[in-house]
Amino acid sequence: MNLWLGAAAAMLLSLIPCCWAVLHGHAVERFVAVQMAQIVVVLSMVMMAQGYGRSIYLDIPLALAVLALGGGLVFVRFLERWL
Amino acid sequence: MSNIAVAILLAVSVLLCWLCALGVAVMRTAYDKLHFIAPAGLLGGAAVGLALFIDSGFTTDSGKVFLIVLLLWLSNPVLTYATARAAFTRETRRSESEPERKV
Repeated sequence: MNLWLGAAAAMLLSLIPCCWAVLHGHAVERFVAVQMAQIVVVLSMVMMAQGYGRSIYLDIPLALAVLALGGGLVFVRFLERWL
Repeated sequence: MSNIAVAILLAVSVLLCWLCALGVAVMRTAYDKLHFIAPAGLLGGAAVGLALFIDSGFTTDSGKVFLIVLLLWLSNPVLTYATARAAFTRETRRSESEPERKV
């Protein structure tokens, strides 16, 4: 395990408080925790791609970063109007 | 020397994400929780991007990571604003639907 993979594993541990926050509170508060989890997953995937030395793995966090914005805005609109 | 800089930047990023995740879990209202998303996305993303740039220099990988960090920087304020607006709208709608209390 190199430095990047160790940092990715350590960063993935911060998903635990995010999961706890997702399970508690109102819908908007849960959505904030989902946003935090998205950031953590994107950054840890970047670290894993560098740790494994595979450039192609960086496409996954890139796609996730793009889709998180669109999906988040759609989710927020649903929360605002219908849910 | 560059290994130390990479290690420090990664440690800063991980520490920021831990603290921000704890803040999201501990804070009570959605507005308070929203404050803890920005440091993880902006500073944490910048630290990871800078660490990768120091580690591998001007490569395709660093270009992709720069794009990822740029996306995080752009999407984070937009989503934060939209979420806060949704929370405010929901609160307003709920308070309007409740009957007024007589003092």
